[in-house]
Amino acid sequence: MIEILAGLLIFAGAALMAVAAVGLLRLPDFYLRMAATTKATTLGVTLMTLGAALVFNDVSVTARVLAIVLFLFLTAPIGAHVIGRAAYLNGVRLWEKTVVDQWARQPKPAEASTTAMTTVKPRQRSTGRRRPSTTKKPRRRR
Amino acid sequence: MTTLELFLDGAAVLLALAVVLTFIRIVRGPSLADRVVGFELLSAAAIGIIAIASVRFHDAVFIDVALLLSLLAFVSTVAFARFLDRRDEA
Repeated sequence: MIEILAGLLIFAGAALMAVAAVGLLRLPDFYLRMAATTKATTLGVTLMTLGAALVFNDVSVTARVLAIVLFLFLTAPIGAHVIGRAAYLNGVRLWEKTVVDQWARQPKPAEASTTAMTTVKPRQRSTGRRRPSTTKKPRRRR
Repeated sequence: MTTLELFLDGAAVLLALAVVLTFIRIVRGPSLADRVVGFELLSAAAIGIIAIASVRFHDAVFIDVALLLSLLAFVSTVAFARFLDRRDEA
């Protein structure tokens, strides 16, 4: 009985991973693809490793699986945020049907990143590149 | 063939499909960021395959490999993001 439950968990995790891959292939925009794969793979890896822990039914294996899950829940949003931010600052285009782009009106996204969340203005619909890519952005140091 | 093995084989097939689709995106991906996201998904699929293998071979040591892989995937994603940030300024 517990083995069937573990098998179901592993199968559901693999199905989520396949859905993430389909999303990565089919979605129209880098940012949408990043969102789809991040969320689906987080839950997928969690379910699969939890299924393995159920099969082994051992304290050390369960501890390692919980470490994997905890680490994944900590790092997956950070990784998605970091790569999405780097892509935006590099001028990766948004989908043309994107509704809101909070960095669009800011002349320098690098320095406005701390204030952009508080000064949201309704942006007129326009096409083309959102970011002034011809201006060389200042070197950021942290 | 037990029920668990049936589920494991089905999961392995789904993961293989995921890897193939991800490779298509990595080959096509218009930007380097798409390829980095594809690599992230590949490493997640590798973790899933390792979990399946550890159950299938009744060997708990493979879970350590999955843990190490999840650590390395995050570090490499951050390193790629830094590289994307600094690429056009060198």
